Amino acid sequence: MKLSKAQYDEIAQFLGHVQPTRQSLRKLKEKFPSQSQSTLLSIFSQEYQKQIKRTHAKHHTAEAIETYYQRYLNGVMKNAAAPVLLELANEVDFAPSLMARIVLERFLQEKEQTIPVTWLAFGNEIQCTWLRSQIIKFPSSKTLINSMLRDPSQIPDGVLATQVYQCTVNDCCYGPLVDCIKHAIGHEHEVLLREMLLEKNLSFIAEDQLRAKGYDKTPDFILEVPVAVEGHIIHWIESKASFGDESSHQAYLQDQFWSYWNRFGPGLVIYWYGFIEELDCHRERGILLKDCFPTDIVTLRHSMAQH
Amino acid sequence: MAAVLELLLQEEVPVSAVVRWLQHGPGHRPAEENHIHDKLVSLSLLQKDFVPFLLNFLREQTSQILTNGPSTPAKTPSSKAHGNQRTGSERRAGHATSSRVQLFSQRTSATTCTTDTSFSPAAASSSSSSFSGSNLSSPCGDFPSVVSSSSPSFGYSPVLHHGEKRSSQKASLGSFLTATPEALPVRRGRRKGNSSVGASGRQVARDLGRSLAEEEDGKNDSVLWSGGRRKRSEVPLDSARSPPSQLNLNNLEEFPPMGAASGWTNKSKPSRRINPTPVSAERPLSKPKTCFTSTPVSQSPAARLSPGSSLEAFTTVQEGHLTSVISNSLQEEREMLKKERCKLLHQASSPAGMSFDPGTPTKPSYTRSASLPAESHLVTCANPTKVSCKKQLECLAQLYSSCIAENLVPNIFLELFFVLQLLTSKGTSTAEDGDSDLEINESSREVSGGQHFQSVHNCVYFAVRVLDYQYEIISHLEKGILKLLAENERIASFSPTLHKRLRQAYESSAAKVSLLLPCSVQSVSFQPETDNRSNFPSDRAFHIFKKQRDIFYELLREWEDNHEKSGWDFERVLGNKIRAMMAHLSATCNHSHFARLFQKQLIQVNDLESERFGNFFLNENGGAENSHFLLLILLHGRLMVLSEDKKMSFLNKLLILAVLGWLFQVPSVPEELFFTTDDRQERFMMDTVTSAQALDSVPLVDQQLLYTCCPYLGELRKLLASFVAGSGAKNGGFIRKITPTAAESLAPKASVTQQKLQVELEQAFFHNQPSSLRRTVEFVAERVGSNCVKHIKATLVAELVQRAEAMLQDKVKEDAASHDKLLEEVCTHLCEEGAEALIKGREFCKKKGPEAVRVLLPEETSAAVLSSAENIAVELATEKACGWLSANIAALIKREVKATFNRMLKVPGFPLPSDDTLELRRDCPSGCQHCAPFPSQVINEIKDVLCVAVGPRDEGEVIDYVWLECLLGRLSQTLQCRKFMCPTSEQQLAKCSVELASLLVSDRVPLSLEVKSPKKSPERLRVKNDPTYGLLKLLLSVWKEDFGTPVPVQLIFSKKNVSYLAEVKLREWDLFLFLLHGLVEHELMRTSEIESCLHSLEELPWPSDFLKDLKMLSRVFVSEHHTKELRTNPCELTRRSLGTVTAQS
Repeated sequence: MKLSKAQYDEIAQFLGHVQPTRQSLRKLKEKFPSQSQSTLLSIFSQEYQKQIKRTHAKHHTAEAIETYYQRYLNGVMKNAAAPVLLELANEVDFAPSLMARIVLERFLQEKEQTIPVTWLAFGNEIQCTWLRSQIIKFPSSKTLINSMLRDPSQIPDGVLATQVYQCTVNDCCYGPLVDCIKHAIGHEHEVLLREMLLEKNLSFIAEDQLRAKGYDKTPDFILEVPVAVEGHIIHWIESKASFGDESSHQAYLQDQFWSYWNRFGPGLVIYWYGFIEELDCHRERGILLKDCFPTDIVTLRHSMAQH
Repeated sequence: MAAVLELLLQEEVPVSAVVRWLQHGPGHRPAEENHIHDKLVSLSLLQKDFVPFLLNFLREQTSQILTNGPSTPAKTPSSKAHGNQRTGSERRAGHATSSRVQLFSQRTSATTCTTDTSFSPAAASSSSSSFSGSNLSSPCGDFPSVVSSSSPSFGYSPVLHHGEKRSSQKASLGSFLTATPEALPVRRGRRKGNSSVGASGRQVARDLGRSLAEEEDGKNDSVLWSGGRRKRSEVPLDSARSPPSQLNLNNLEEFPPMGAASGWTNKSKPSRRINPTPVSAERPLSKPKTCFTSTPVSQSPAARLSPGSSLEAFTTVQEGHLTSVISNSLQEEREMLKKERCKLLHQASSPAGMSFDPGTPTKPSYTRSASLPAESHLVTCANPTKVSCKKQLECLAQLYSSCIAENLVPNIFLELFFVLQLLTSKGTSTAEDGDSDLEINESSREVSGGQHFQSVHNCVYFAVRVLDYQYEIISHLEKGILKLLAENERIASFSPTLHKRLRQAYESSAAKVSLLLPCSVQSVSFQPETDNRSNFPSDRAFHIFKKQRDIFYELLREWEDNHEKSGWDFERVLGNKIRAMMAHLSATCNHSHFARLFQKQLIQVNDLESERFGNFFLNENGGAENSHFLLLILLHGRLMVLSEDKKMSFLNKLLILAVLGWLFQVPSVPEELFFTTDDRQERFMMDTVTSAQALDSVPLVDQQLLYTCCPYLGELRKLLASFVAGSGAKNGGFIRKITPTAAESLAPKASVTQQKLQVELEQAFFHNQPSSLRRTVEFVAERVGSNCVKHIKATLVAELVQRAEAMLQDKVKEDAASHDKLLEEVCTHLCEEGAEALIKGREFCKKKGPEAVRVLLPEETSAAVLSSAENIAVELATEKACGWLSANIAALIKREVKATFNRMLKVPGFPLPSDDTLELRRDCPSGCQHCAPFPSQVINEIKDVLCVAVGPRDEGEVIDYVWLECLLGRLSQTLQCRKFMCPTSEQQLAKCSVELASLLVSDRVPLSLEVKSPKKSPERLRVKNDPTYGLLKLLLSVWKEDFGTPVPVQLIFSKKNVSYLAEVKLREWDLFLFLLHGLVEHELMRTSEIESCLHSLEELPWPSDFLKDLKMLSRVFVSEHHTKELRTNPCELTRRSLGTVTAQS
């Protein structure tokens, strides 16, 4: 679904400072019933991410971290079953998953100093030793923390584990679950696109094959024989299971689309969840945008004859 | 030099004879054979220096008239450089411009540096001025010594002319200095010693480029042509100075936008000097010209370029050789020098000389000329009837035009610019009246029989004649300039015919341009064979080149989009980016890749674009001082242009030549590149034709040159060879890649005579056949050979690599230290089998070669001819393929195996190859319509359930049991259809469903049974009637039946999930126990595993009552299981024991 810049701005405006909860999503759907849910969710997610990027730094000052950690400790001391972390995140306008990360990181820092006393008392000496070595090696080892966020059962503190899990489950813009859903959506649309190409008898080289051949940049599909879509010749197709807003499109142009152009010539990008119409301004130069599989396809006559 | 011109002007020799003389170098064939005019035969040694001489002669002659715009490239400082390069001996002595030749400075600085300020600006036709110019230039100039060392061959003794030169220079530089008081200090401050006239013609040419660029920008400050340089701000805009109808200063804007962007503006940067052209020695542009290859023996390329050889010794040798060579012309040169010196002295001492130079705004006269009303009356009205010495002018125009047409000038556009300057020359009343400086007149007359350009009328006449001759080139120029030419009154009055043709060209050009406009630059495609990781020495280099390619196009796009906008500054916007890109180039030896990219881009761009691209690149160079890079590019460019003759469109070629012409003026580029590549080129062509060497041993490019200039460019030769073999062929390759015999023939070596005979027979065979037969055979051989290698790679090598993978798979788990050894072993083993490649290669060629030949040759070809052709094709293809294979197969296998092995190590979760196989094994059930919900959707829905379960919930929020049951049904469907499933989705589904189970057994999921129930949170039905059992059963079944990936059921025993249970007030252990038994029954966990998990749980610090429950549960589970095992009836649940547990809780 293509949106005009004005339509898009209206939605983005509404999203101003919405929290990334399912409740907010519900409201959004009520407000814009004519838009597809996936599109709304995608825009929501992007807008929220922009907001987080803007405020990210202020939540990561030493002071802020300390405040959050103390508030968490006080909160769970009063009532461990209450959604302490989640509410804290919502209160300070920060993504719950990211708040969970901050507190977890801080928690691990503290544990690092007290490991010998407390953790060894748990009896799981091997695990604690490993953990300690990890923490010492990488004071805030990303791998370790990511792993704990993905599977909070690994968090040595039961209460924190529950709190963290609550945050990651409830966050609809950040966190391992959301990441996985996004990845899944992306994969599914690639498969869909592949099916459509096969159906149209357009032979292609897929990304994995390209990688195996050592291509340094790999669109989802390179057409073995170029086609013309709406009068524009394309050599490659990239599937994007998201909404194409200005910032994400710019980033994609920079990191991917122009790189593809630089290697394979003009191509087509399908934003399955729509895009801002005005962004489709590089057609002449060789980047075509669509929100669905194109219908106006002209193939080279020889290959037509073969089919 | 002068003698030749004299012969011409005195009509003793016709123009055609001189041109012929120029085209045929000495030493190749006897003069008679080339019909060289008798009078020219004796001068044959001079011919290659004649063009520069001519160009400088013209500039010199016209210098008094040219007041419009920058002082002409040959005038004042530049003339010096020109002069010194013009004469044969001098060229050898100093054909590198001052900026380059630093080698001699050590020796000569003592004598010449003191004369710094005494340089003559007008020593145009004197010899050796560039030589002394170089002496005068800073001995520690800012050009890398590698560059300067590239022209060390000027063995001609520098001492020879020193005395003379100094005296001649003295006067005129003095005058120059007074004339440009503002300019010099700037220059001096910038670069020590560069104030010398040695800045030379090159400077002017570069300034031309600069001025064009700036004009383009509408910020004209570069009318300044003197050696000096000013800041833009110092220069008032002088657009009002010239009438709009004339193609002078103002009209520069219309000049082809070479170097259009304003990257040159940062003048304070010494590195960006655009030096005037030293119309240096000959630079044949498109074809190897014999007249340029007639280098004296003493100047063997090796000697010329030897980088490390002792300079002293080197020079001595050169001198020795050269003395004899130059003796012929020496006397003549001396004579000329005398005359020149004399002339210059006159000129310099005469204040009138300066008054002729209002075109240089920094000079005092500028003030005068800037006042428009006062000046207009000074502009001479050119009148065709007032032209004198028409005959001589016509001669000169013809000769000059021939030089341009034959690509004997370094830069076509520079010459065109010069001609346009003449066309638009203003002259002064003095010149107009014909009473021009007598002294000048006399001195010039001495040299070449007269001052032919003393009046504006004559200049315009000459210019119009030349334009007429060069109509083809002009007609391809940009529309803007065509318009101005078509509207030029002088052309109209001097040549109505040309005027008419120009009008036509202008009119048709409009349509042409609009057709071309929509196209924009096309990219160079990525080819794995040349561009993938295996073509780079390291991951880093590969990665960096990836970035470079993108930056390159990013810059190009940005430039394309913006360069025409006002206020867009190339240097400011792109300078740093380019420098960063170039810095990476040096850091990673990616030159070859980048050069290829650039060169291919150059080939690809179409007519209109090549101009843009050239502009872009000019500017790019403007930003980056990277001589090595440039060097490569230029070599490529030259080779390409030389090889592209047939295929390129006229305009393409013209523009590329123009671009290259400009490039060769960049100071860091050794100009010998012109000659040397040419020499090599030609020699190479001859070599391949006559001596039939194997490709690899062909001296395509003078390595000496390359190593001299870029000592670390070890891979250059390889690169160029591959260029010739690869992309060269695509573009109509200029060499015969297949030669009758390969040096490394695989066939058992016959005796030399036998071989020779075979070669002769082959040649003889082709001789009486149509040439298409030979082309076909060579083409087939080339393609089949290449395909053969590809085929072997795709089959045999791929197979071996697969086997290696299998062999390594088992052993890879071993300690990393042994990996190298392991790899080595595997490779050695496989390489032995790689020998089979040769056998397979031969088979392939034997099979495919004849097929192709048969298809391609005419049906009527006789059996014998066909058979011979087939055999030759097969043999050549086999040689090519097997030659390559035998040399490279082992390395190839090794490389592939190693890459595979590295991939194996990198695969996440390695070594767990079973994951993949597991994934592969699973397939959709037969007849699957792929209609199941997408995994992402199911994950999302489960996530929603988890949200409600872990809270916080809205008031009264529940989950409908039926809906949840449906969801689990959909989960099952989704897992069964594999089409859209990916490993991460499946793993997430597994994890989420286990979490869901944990939340279910701890009563965290607020299920609503039916809508009919009015109560939001109904009393839970106990035990058997609890619908949760149904959900758990569904989950167990899905885990067991539908998942293709292991389900992390042990998460049920995680501290977090068990703590859900601990928080429940009324614990319902029976659900948990049900789940545990279910796990065992569905073979998802073994009893012992569960026991151990439960046991571990007991170790954790739980509240005491929960711990008690836990221990009890553990006991019950164990006893029940034992009972069941005893009864061998594992399916039945014992309600009794469960009851016990709940009672206790």
